[in-house]
Amino acid sequence: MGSVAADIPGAAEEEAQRLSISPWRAALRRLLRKKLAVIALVLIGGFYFVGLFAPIISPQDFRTQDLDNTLLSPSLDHPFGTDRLGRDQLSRVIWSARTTIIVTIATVVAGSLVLSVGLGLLSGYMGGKVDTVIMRTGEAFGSLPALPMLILINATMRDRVRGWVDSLEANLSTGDPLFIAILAILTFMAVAGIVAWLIGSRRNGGWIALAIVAAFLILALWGVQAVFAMPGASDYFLIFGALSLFFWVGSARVIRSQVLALRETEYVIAARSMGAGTWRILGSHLLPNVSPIIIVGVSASLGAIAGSEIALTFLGVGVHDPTPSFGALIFDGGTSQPVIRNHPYLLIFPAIVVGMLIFSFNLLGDALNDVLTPKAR
Amino acid sequence: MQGLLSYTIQRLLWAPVILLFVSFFAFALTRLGPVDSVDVLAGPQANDEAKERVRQELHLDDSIFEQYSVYMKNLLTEGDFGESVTIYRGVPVWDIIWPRMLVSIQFGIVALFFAFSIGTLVGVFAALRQGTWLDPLSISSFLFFQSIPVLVSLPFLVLIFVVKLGWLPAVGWGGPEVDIGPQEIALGIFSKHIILPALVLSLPGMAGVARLVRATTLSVLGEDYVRTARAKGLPELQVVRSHVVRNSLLPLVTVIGLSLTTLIEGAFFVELILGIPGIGQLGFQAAQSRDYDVILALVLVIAAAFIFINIITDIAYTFIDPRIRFGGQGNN
Amino acid sequence: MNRAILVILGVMAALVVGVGVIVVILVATGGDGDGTTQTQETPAGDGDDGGGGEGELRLIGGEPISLDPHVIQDAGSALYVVEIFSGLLTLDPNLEIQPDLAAEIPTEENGGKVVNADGTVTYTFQLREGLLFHDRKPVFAETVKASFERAADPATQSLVSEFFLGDIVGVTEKLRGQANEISGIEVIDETTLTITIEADLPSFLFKLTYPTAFVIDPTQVENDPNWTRRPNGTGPYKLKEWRFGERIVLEANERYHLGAPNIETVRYLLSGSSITLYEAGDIDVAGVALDDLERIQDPADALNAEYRSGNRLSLDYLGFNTNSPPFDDPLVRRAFAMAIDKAQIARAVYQDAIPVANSILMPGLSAYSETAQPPAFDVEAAIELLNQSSYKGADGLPEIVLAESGTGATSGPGTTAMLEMWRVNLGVDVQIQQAEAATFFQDVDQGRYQMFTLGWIMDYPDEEDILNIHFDSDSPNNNTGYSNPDVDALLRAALIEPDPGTRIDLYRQAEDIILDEVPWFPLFFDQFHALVKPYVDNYLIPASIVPRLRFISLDD
Repeated sequence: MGSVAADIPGAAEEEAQRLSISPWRAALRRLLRKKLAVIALVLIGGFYFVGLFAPIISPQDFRTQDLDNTLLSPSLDHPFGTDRLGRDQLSRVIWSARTTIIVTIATVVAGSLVLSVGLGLLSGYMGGKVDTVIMRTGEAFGSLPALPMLILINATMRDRVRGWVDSLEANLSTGDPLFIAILAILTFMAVAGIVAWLIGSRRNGGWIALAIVAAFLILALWGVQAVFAMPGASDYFLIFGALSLFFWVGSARVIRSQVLALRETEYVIAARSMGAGTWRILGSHLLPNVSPIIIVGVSASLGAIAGSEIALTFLGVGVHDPTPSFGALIFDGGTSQPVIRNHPYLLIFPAIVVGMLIFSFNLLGDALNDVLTPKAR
Repeated sequence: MQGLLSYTIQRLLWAPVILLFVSFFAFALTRLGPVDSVDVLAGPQANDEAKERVRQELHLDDSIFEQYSVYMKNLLTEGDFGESVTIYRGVPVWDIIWPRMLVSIQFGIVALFFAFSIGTLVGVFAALRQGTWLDPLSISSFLFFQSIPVLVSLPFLVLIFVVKLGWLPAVGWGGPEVDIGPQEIALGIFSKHIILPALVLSLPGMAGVARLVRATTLSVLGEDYVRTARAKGLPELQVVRSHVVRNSLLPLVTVIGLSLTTLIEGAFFVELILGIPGIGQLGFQAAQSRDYDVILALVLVIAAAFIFINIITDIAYTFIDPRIRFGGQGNN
Repeated sequence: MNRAILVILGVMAALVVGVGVIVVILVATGGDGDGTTQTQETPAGDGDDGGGGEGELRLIGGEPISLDPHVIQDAGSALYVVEIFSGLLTLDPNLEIQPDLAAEIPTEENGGKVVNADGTVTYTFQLREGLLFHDRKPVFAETVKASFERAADPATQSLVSEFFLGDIVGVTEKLRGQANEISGIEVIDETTLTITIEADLPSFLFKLTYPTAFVIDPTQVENDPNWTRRPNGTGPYKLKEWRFGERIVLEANERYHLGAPNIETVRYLLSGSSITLYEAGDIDVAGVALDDLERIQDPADALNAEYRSGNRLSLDYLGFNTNSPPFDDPLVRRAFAMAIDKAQIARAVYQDAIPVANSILMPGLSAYSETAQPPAFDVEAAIELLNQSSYKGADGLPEIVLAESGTGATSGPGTTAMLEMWRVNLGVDVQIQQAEAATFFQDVDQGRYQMFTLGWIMDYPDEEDILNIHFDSDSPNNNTGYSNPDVDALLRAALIEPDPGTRIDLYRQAEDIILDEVPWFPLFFDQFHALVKPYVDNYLIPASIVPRLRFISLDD
């Protein structure tokens, strides 16, 4: 336990030097040597696969009711049984996985990557007032239990966000020239970045950073577009918006301390003395060096994000019917004692899946922490 | 020692600043968040007249900063958190929150004790059995508990202990009653009602404690003086007690902070599922009924308690081990 | 420093051990902590509880929204209010009017009812001798008048007083703030008052049994801002304790003017799973949830002998806001109604525990008709209707949100089933919005929803209390915005129709039009399923919310 130690990701690098392979490959190798981590990876991978391909894998639509076959115990036709409305519980679990995936990815992109990397780099590099403001705000958020705040945000902002999303939805469509223009520019940036990186000096990480950022934005834009098209879009925005507020702090803090350390290293000083600009230095030198830490931070927060979405939905301030969610499944199966007693399978299957998922995230986070940071025990 | 003192003062001064920030953030949400804040703040029964009165009383036409200063003035000078508009219409918010806090604190404390006592025992046990199958089994099973959200584990425990075995009361809260302040309060600590909530809330923290104690115990057992003590033929338990326990204290203090988050967040589910009238249940009801002043007060109270305890932990941490750098991470 | 640490550790260890020992003892002794608490809690203070009943009845209940009789409009709160407060008249468990604070029901025969020359009617109420509030303050005619005026005061913000008191001369002026007093209520002497109403209305006396007409203690209401937490009433039980979220304890009013209750205390738990508590012996009566019903209805089950059920004058319905698109078009309303297979929902989701409703009036009301014709389930006809409507089919409809009362992660199974039927049968995706009860009722009354599901339990067994209150275009409680001059005419004629047979005809005609134009689509009637311990005698399940606790007794 304990926070991720604030050190240069030395272990993997040392090993890389010894074996003369890239530090990333060394880290991966160390990771794969841990049996539990591999199991966790496989479980998480399976979960994401199932969720992503839910429309193909799932035996039924999550809404399809069969009122002639309600409350069936698990059988070959319905491995997880059916609920009070004759909906196939397996399908609902699969579609709930999809909800979890959307929320975790959106939060990771919006919160952990954009916010924490951006603010962390900025804070560490600029120092001074910028640093103080960012870090103190972060500390204020980080020093609170998130759940009551999340409930407050969701309860107060729900109608307003619904209004925003509705008006955005009306204005933003895939055929919109503005949308196409933005997409074209981003694609150009991504391609140009990769080409420049390939043709030019490979040591210049600025180009590849540009490409990565552009690619992320494209993905995010498509994601937003896709999410808009779904029912209950505003719920998703509210949830990952609110979650992002709380989940950027940890990684931003670590990244900042990394930057502080790196800022004084020779090559950054050298680069600066040669006249390189702030962003160039941030992009080409610092970003590649802090990436392992970002990965640790992200993987450590994935479990918490997934758990928060489930918790909020359970409390009725997360995603809403008919959007399936583990929070709703556990609420249905686990809050009424007559249901627990007479139809325990309605609780057991979703609960096991959720338990295994979060357990896997924690195992993986632990293992990555071990692999990428030398100080952790 | 001077550094320690200034660090302590610095931390103490920092607390009100965070609280100010948090309270403003939460306040702004309740006033600016809803599309129709007058309607909501006046409560569902209000007619136009009442809405106009609420608009005046809360200064809703003024800027958010003025509204905030009015709210804070009432709060600080009169302890006035406003009134409930939906759940218990017209009842002062503090009268609703206070008895419920006492209930939540009760099983929170018991849960902390469960976490520390059982966690320490398991940690020491695992360390002493290092190398056998008992060590990884006990530790990884505890890690599993740590991973399971309360809302998943609780229904299972209800299924086993309440529905199947019938050992524990179904739900609710009870126990002998005493007068605390203006209200009479049930001491659930002295009834069976405390077991399930305290147990389920202690599971995550317990795992953290066990892992830390195991790690410290192992490193201490490796130290020369412990080996010496053992070599001198001192009984194992005595060695453990005198050396290991002392060295474990430091990491344990850190775990308090972690456990607190779990406690507060877990309380929402425990109280909801088990029907315990604490602050989590109230927060849920208030959010559902759009009783914003109640949620606002709850957030403030929880944040204040949380920040306060965190600072105490921080300071205790530096006092226990002055080798710890002041100010946290990042200066290597 | 080391010493300090050891001290801290020692204290912690001691506490841990202490708590552990206590817990172990409690578990080992069967957790009698609760039992002893209960018995220790015999009423203290008054010293004269000899006249009252004995024993304790333990029930499970919901938290009331409020205990202010003039404001409440939900059955959950009324359940407590009718036991704590009372008015001039009351309903007995058979829903017949009985005198309460009044010594007798005013009729033309006993001279209590006089039809005046201008068509108004004056009732004279003679109060019983020696009426007392729970705190032994006397109740005079002046008190009764003050109560009515408080209920009709605009500052009280009652949403129900216009309907229940509006017949009285002068109440409308008072409600609009145009008068300080209600001119139609006159105090004759200490124990006599007259109430004058606008016309000879057959159902008026029923309205006086509703909580809006209950007597409150005016001095308490004026002086104590938190009086609803310690209400001073005239009902058969007094509120002994209301601990939010935990329990409500009622204590017998041994001086109750209709006879002291049999049971000394009634304790309501406000949270918990009723069947588990019942089986553990912690409560004496439990409602049965759907998931347990099948098991308990099985004659082989041990609990079967304790199973009771009773019909209630209650209707679950789907309400359409007739002012809000797309439900401003009656064809759309009809199409939505015809796409629902109520029988299948009743069978699959509710396991036939509640009867399907084919009329708005429930069986038990005199105008109930078995031959009423609501839109029947017919998918093809529904699609056809939708295409004929001004929205030209499913694609032309705006976004639709169905509101229901409720909290938590998921909506009710019945509602979810209807949503799916609309999706599959009509191709319309309806969104669902949940709201907490107090907010929900308010928003329904203000017409903020497009469509909602709600229940209605009759306040008294007269058609007026469901048809006039909800479908007269002028009624403040018309929650669908429905307005049809023909219906208005029929309903208003029925209101003053003295002949019962003609009255029934008028109501049936009105109901037929309403069923045809579907502002409400009736879904289910209500049936109450309960388990009652064998030692509880005379546990009545009345068809409406009426005072009933004082009739129950416990075997030794």
